[in-house]
Amino acid sequence: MTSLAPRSDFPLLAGAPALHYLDSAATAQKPQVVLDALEQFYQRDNANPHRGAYELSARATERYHDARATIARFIGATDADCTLFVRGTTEAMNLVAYGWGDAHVGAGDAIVVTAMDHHASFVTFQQLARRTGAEFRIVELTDDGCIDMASLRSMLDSRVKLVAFPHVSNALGTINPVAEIVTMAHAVGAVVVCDGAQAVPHLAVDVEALGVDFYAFSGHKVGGPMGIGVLWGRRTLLETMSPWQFGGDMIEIVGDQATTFNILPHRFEAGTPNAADAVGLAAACDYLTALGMDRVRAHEVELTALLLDGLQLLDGIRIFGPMTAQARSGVVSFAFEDVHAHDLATILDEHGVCVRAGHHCAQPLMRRLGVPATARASVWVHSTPDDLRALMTALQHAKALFADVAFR
Amino acid sequence: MSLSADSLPPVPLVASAPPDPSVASLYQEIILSHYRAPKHKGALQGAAAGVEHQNPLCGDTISMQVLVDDGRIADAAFGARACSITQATASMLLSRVIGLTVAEATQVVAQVERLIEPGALLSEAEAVTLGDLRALASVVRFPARKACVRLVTGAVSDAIAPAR
Repeated sequence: MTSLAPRSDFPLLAGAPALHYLDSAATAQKPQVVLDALEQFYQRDNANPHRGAYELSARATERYHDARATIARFIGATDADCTLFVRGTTEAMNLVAYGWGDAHVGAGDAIVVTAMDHHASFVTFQQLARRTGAEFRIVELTDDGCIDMASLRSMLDSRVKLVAFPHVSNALGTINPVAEIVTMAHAVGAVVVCDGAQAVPHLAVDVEALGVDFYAFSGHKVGGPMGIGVLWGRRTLLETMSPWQFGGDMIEIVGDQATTFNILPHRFEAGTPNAADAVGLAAACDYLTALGMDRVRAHEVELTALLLDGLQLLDGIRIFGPMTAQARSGVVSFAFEDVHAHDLATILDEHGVCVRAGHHCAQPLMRRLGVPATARASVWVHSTPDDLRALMTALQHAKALFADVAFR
Repeated sequence: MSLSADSLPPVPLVASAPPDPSVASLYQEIILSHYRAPKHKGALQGAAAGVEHQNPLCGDTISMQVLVDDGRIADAAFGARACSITQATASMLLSRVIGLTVAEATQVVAQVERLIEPGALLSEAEAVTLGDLRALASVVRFPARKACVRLVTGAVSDAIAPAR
């Protein structure tokens, strides 16, 4: 078994042959085609979209427009104008909270999130609840790191206006049953916000088939540039929402005392758009489409199974989340009783192995797991069994170094 | 013992960071032994209310209690949910500052913070003063771990601030 994508597709990895990058869940390395697309935009097509009445500006506008269409197709959205560009998942969640939440959630209502939500969602909707006086309900997890469906059921009633959860947990890797949760949430009339940041790079995503009302992801985790992301929303919802940021591009007619606003998607994209990064993200989507998302998933399942098997051989390890590769994406969080995650990460770094150590922007989850931090290894299209072997060797070294540490 | 700057000879200076860039330099025996059997870990009876600090980037927490009697640190204790570097730093730093005046302890804290910066130079007197804490000089090679030391120095500074 080799990698799905050649290492040579990724200039950073090609230039660092000894590096074992197992932190794709934090940010993905960039394929050459993405870097080329960025360079090409700036070298050939750069002008301010939607503004100049000259050919170059028209070309920039077209590139931006085409990028949106490509990205919309990639996530199964037939209505590309409902695919809004934002800075990333965090901004997408804030757009939902300010654009939809403030108008539709009030005192006496309730908001439901899960204990595995990333801070981008957890904190954003917690603060929405505080602003509006709504009750903030947190769905608990099962021991194997899945959403406790009984807990969810018990929290759904007619007061619930919004349900937010991740498609895939960034800290646990758990793939959540989106359609089932949507059915339950819609049954009580709630709007569903799904954080797809850890799903879009790894699974074939079809936002319309999932049935969600809002779906967000970050471009940089898909191999695209940092600073671009997407919020997809249902047209019926987006059209009733007030803009949350004001300025150029999002207006229709500006009067001295009042302004009318542009149509979708411009209504939610105030200011000069991040066209170059949109073009870069579209190139990343094309790259993954060419690899085939089904093959991406199959590759990651294979590696994740190897990773789970390997980690279980280590004494004193605690692995968080579901124990089958099929039930999770290529993300595995773990901790040792006697070696802190930061110490692990430092020792692994010396072996050229990059893993994330920390709370993974999921402090409520860490509290429930009873650990301050975990180490997290994550794979992507360029990962190989060799990367995992390097991880195992480095972990054994770390264990040996701390072997005689006895706690008082 | 006085630790005022005037009493320290300006030369000779020694480079604080060891030449060994490997991870073994970070996890020296002295650091591991303080981690293995930390000194002054626990709670103080009758100490003033302590402080609790958290590193928001990693989630590690440390609590610090300091008992000051007549301007001198009579006793101190820490509690931690943290990595080896943080726990060893706390163990070494409290071992060093107990018995010092608040002003002297403040200087030791400042020296430790200086020790983990690139290009730090210590006078021989300072090196002697720091004792075991000198082992932390290797942290300079691991910039991501500076915050692990600062979590402790920040908590100690904060805990002795009311007595300053």
